Amino acid sequence: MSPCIRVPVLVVGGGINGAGIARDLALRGVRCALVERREFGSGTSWASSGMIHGGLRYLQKDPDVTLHSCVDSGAIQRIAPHLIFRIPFVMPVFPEDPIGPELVEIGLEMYDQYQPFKNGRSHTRLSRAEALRLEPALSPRLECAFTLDEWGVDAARLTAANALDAAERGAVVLTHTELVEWLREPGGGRVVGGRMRDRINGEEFVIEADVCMNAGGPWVPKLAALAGVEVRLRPGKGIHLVFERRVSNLAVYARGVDGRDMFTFPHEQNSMAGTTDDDFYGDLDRLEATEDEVAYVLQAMERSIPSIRRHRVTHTIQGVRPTLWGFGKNEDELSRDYVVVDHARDGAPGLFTIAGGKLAAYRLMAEDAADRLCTALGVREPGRSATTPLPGGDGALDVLATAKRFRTPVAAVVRLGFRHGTRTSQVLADHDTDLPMDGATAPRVVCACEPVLDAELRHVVTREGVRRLTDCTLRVRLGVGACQGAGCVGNAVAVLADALDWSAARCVEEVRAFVDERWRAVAPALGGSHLAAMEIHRHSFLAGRGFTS
Amino acid sequence: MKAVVVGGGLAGSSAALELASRGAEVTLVCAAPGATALSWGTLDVAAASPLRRGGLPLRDPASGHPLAPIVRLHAVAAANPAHPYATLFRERGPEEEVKEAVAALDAWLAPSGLRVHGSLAQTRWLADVHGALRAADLAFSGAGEGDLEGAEEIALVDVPGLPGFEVRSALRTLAAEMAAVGLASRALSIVRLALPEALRDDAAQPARFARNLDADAARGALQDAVAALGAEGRLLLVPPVLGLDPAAGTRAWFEATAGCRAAELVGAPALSLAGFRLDRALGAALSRAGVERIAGRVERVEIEGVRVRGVQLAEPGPPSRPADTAMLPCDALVLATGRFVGGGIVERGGQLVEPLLGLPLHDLAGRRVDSLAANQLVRGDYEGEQPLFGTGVRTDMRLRPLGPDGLPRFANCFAAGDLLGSFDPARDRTGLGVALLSGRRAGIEAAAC
Repeated sequence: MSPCIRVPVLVVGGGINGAGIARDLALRGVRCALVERREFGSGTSWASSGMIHGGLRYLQKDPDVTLHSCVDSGAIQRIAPHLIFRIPFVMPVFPEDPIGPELVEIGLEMYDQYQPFKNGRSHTRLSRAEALRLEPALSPRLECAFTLDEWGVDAARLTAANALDAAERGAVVLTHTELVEWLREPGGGRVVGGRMRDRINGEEFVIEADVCMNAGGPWVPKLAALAGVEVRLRPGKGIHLVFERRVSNLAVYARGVDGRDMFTFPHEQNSMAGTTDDDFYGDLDRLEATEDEVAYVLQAMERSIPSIRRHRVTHTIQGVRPTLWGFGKNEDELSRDYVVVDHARDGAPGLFTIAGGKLAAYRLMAEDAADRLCTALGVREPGRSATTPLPGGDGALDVLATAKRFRTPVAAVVRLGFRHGTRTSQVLADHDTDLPMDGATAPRVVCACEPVLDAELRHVVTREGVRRLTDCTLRVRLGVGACQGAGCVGNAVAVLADALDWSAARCVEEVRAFVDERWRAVAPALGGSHLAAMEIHRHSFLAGRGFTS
Repeated sequence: MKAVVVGGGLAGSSAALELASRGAEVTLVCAAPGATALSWGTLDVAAASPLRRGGLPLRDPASGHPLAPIVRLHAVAAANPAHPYATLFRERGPEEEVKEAVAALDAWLAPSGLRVHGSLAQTRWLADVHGALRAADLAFSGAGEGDLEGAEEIALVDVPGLPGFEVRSALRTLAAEMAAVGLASRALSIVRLALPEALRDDAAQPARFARNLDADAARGALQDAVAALGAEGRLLLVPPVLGLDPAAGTRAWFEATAGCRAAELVGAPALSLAGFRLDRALGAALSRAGVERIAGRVERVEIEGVRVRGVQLAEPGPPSRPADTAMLPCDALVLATGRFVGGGIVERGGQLVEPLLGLPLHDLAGRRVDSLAANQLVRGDYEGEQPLFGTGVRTDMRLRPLGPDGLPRFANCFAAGDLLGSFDPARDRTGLGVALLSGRRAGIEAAAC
């Protein structure tokens, strides 16, 4: 008999939707289990553009999506002020553009109506000279330009923060755990939980629940099929290029050869460019960008920023949107709306599915889904997720004082504060306390690109449930800079090994998985000055610290 | 005769020193420190990693006995007929060639306090900063004194605050790997260097910390702390921060003060000062040999028919060389520009090119690749063969780069080091070995032309 966990709600899928639902339920006092097959947000959530914007693009056909996104963006800004950053956009208008300045401005005037919801400023119209002064990287061929205001977020941290908050409020939160099968009442009736498998140690166990939520993102159809239920999506693959550093002061609109809107935008320490949107029929578990997608994005960006190819692309990020099914439309025209489905109508009572949607409206969707689950459970507690701060979001961090107190570089504390908010002091206080010290030792920088401190790695392992080295890419942005881990992985795995008591063989296995993942992200866009970095990378992992055969 | 060498790593320096020893008037143009300066303390003529995939076999599959480096060297040359070693060893066997090269290198570096340890007859077991074992052949002073074989007791020296060295994990890994290859681990322990307050903050910056150790002030302050680490029969393994200047003899000081054997751990990208010391010692050797060194970039090579006539510098050289003499005439040219790190091969407009002469490039399998983009030469399996990382120029027996017709493009131009294609040094672990052997050969050939 395998061990059993009993909870009112089982949520399968630890992306932003699943984590958001778990937190929303936890805030209402409803205990749930949240299981994620890999790391929180490692599917679509993290591969998004990392923006909580309204989506100017959806204004024409999906004004509800824009409204919901803008309203919820405002809420996310309130509950997670440490995770967000302002992204001013500049939209150049070129002589050959099909939509002239006047029409663009009408659209932006409409969008301005939504800006107050998300604390955004109204647009401005810039002359050619003004635009070039503001953003010298822009092509001088532009006729005029417009500014508009959006917000960025660390989507991986946002997901983790939701899961963490749920856990701290009593939820059972498990990563690297997959659903083997749904449990049904005898006779193939009600869905009453699931049989789970821990993908690291292979152990199987059962979670029993009154209601179950399928929040698998693009994996939704697969999870639904395990219950004999059909959910139709039209999944769309999207890639982003990640540049080694900021390539422009502002986010810049660009247009693909097919007329699609794309942009280059500052993101964390880097710039990103994207995205693509193509119907996807491949293997969700082995997603890679292709040379063609890379070329398509660069071609689009080059029109707005002619110097774009001189910048180093370190890697790509790729994901698949769980877009709702629609026939006879281009990928871009598909609705970004979402649905919550009660599968009682499909002969699987007790099972719900959430599908579709945008990152910017995740909280609203999660609240809606939680409402439905609560109704099913007979719980009347209202949602509180719009007003209760996420972990670390309950105040401001005094960066200078913290840096001084823990003898830590200010630059490192700034980045720490971005991920952990008011919990930064706790992260630093967790530093290596079990060694006899001749005077306190300051936290050490493990990854200089981000930077990541050994203290933060220890913290995410002991307090945030990180279980694998690869989790650290999303959780603390380890190894995503110029060297792609060549400089930091050996030491990072050592810190994790210490905390988790890993054997030497396990360390090698963890490093190998990390390097394989980085290589799959690097290879499709490898070129230019990044070749030298990857030559060093290869030396460090093959000639240097290598792999067990 | 006048010779120009482009590239100042081990390959270029070896070529320049051979040329100078044969009476040539040598100018070495070097843009910046390259792969040699990033190396980690071992020479790796034919190293093996005992527990790793790829690379050369460490043991005889039949008998299980460790293979001597010289056997591995034969094996790598035999396994890949296009490997630079196969070219280099065609006339003389590797034994003589390597012995002579190592003796020459040792003689070049010794006046700067850097020696080459080891031989091709026996594998030397060294440990790196992560505790991983290296079956090395040759290693420089620093790591070179750290052979684990025969050490009664091994202690890893923790330096508080030093980034890039996680001592507990290194100990665990070293114990496991020594056991796996049957190296009897007598006693393995951690000892902690008690840093005086004045040095504590410097430990966060390895290069600064290392430079401090070269001077008397820090040595005086550390005297007692280092002495406390010693014990009879103990081998102290220290992170590779024992000095920046090889001539300062910091490892020897540490050893004498501790009163027992002391050596450095082999470095890693985040913590590697051994390459810096090698780079410095090579620079000193070039100066002693009378080689003129110019920090700059070659813009263009002057060609006349099948001969190279000189090189044009991108920027005027040092004040001693006014702008109008930025043209360096030469009777022979050695290209030791490296691969991607050195800039010997670059991607331009989405195509791989050899930027100085536009030489044809071939990948690991011999396919012509200089019209292709880098991302067309990669495969999914990181650890497997990657055509991109074996890309370089091909040469004749005398190391003259071949033109598109498969014949030497120039009568007086030679190539050495990582610019030579058809081998992936990260994978076959021939690292600096190819640089040394091909550099010397290119210098000898250039002097004779």
